[in-house]
Amino acid sequence: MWRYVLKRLLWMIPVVLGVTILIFTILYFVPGDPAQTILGSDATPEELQAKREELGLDDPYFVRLGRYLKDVYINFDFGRSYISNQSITQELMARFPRTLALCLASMIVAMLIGIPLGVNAAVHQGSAWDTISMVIALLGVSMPTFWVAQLLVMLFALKLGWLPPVGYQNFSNYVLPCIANAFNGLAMQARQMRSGMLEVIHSDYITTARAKGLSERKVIFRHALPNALIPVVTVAGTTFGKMLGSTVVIESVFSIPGIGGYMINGVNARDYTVVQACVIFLAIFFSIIMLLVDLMYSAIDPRIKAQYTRKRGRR
Amino acid sequence: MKKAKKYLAILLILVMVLALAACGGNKEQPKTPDASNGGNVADPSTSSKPDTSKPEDSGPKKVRIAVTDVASNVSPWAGTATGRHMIIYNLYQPLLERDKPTGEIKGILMDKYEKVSANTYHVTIHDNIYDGENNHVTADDVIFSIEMAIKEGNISGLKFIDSAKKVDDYTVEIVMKSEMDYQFASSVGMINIVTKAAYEASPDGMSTTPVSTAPYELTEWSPGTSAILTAKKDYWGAELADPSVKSAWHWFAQDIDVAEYTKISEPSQMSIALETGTIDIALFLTQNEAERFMSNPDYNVHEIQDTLAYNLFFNCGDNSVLSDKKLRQAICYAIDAEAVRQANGGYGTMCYTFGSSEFVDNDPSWKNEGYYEYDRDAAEQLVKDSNYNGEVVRIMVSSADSMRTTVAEVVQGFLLDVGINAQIDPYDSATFAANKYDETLYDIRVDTNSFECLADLWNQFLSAEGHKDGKNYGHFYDETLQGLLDNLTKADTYTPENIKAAHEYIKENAFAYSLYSKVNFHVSTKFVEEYVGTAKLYPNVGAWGYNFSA
Repeated sequence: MWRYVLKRLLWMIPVVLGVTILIFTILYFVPGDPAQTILGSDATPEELQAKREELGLDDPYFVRLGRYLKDVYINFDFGRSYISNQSITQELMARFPRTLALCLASMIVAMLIGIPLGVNAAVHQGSAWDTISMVIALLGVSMPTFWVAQLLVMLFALKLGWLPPVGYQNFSNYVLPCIANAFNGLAMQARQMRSGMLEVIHSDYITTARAKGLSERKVIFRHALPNALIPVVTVAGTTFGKMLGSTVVIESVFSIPGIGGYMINGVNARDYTVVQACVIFLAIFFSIIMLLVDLMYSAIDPRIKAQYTRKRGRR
Repeated sequence: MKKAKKYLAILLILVMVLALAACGGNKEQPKTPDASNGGNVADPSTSSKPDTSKPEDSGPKKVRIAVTDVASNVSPWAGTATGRHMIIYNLYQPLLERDKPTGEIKGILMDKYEKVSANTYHVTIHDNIYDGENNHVTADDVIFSIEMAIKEGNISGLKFIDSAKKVDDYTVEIVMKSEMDYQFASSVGMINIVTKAAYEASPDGMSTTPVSTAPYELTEWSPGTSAILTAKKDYWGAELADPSVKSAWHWFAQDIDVAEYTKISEPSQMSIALETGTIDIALFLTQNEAERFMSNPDYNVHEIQDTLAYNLFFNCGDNSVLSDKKLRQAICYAIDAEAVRQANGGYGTMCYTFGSSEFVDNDPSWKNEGYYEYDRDAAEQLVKDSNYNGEVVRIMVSSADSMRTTVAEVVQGFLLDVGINAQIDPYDSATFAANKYDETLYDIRVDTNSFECLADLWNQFLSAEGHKDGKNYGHFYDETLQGLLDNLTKADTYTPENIKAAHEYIKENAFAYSLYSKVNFHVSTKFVEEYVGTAKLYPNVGAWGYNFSA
């Protein structure tokens, strides 16, 4: 088991390095000039050139890439923002808890609603419950996050006055962003759960369980649900990744100073160092999440745990 | 099965109720800044009911402001950014400012100035200026600030300053490379003054810990997201915050104790925050959103006329189809500028030269001369007389500004109407800024630009002076035009006659065409009765008119 974890951790190195080189290269070729952003549109060519030299923007591609890789992976320093001149590492650390809280809360909401919705739809396949659940799931998958966010704000903040439209310091500030961010994931969870449950429910061992006279509740929750959860956990990992991506929109709409908002500010200002750092940071974080998801398989399904054990035994 | 159904239903209901309702209805009032709370951010969202009146009777008087961006860097000489403009004029003070509509140079830290030669100024500061750390500001600090601002190289426009040296403890001699007063004022007016002692004591060049002579200090700040400014106690300039004492009184005003800034980038969210009482004023709200409040008696819509004009910059270079003068004139005649203004809501003042009518050196009589009045027949005739053969005319525009894209769309419509095959090429704001002078990418560029006066605008865009390739930003060189513009860079030839001559030549040749000057919208509750800004119209929150009993 530990060898597997170690192997996965080692695999993260080329993944993160690849992401770093890719994002650096993309931003290198993206049109836009940070010097122009800093100095404004009325700067003279001489002023712009001087600023480019100061920032090292006129160095060749490989020189800049090498310098960046060294700074990030040897000095553990993402550098300073072109615009604010502040340490990006410090900014990321300050903002990460808000993004993490938003994503975790969204994930919890998505699972708490999506899984029961999917189970219910599967158990009552073809019924009104099923139809309603799948319509909700369809809406969740179809409606863009920013639109859901706007609708929620109009309803709960403007019309009902229950919740604040923007902000981030109180718990109540996170309710609307979490629901908006969770809606798509909720739908995916529900659809995956329904599909998984339907497959399991029609298995022989479920029929056997019923034939033995077990109550329907025990059949569903003790025998069917654990086996149907495995693909749901897989989807949960990717859903979490999607939610991390959606924070770019959610944090902008609700004015939450997280990593998503930081990244979009960096994109708008052509603050390459900020964008690179955010992408790399999220890539590392997502890799860790996917590793945890893989490890969760073994907790849910003893067969997978047994696989690891068998491999170790063979060696 | 029935039980499972019940449990699931109950679970669903519980989750939904918890998620949607239990956390709502927070009636807590906005917190006042508290340095001991350990956080560094403002809480913009603590009331849930519309609260269009104002703050609490006791405690500090506070205004909650929504802006599209908050400063990411508060060092004195950082580069230009929208977020900085929102708060920086309450955190730092320069020596002076130039009032755009009148051209008057107003002292801020400067008590008086004297022009001792064509390009040399003696600037005397007040002798009782102290910064937030109680350091006395002297001529040495002024020189230090000027030199540091130039050295850091983040502020475009300081190229006109040649040197600064001490005359006495409170007087500095500033030598300019230009003879023009407006260039002296615009350059020196961009440099925030701090004391050398405070700057050197700062661990990060005041990037996060500004210490200045201004009436407010930064007490809480989340870069790029929120900021809280608090009025300084025992402020040295308090007595100057009186219109009868000083023309630049608003730089010293402290009529509000606390100003909370929150970034809300979405205009619709800004409106909702205003309607729900989360904020007191939304700055630089888009026109569409501002119009929603115009007939609502619970809100004040502050319409502030700007000197920024919507300009059409023509690419007159040899490789552009617009190198043809007749085609450029045809375009000017083909466009109904008033219709363009109406398409954007009908706000703003019309232009009658290349540049805003709001500039001090604009001649009001030009309005009567006519400025390419809409004439479809004349446009069609000029198209026929030109060498135009149906080539695509590319209109470059920043897609980040819906007003500019509307201008581009209406202009495109007018051009198609007279047989000019116009195509809009939208760019995101950063790409637009980086490529706006690339002559291979556009024939017409829709843009707005901030300048001190017409002479400044014309020289920036139409003078080839200082351009390595010998061509101006219109990608051509015209000897007559250059001579006319050179006249406007010297004090003794910067005369109304020469301005008029340049205006007529630019107009006749249609090197560029201005439509109308824009209006900025700030929408507030009744708590904010008057918006007061700097000469560049950025907020000066301490000087706003407040109705504390509203």
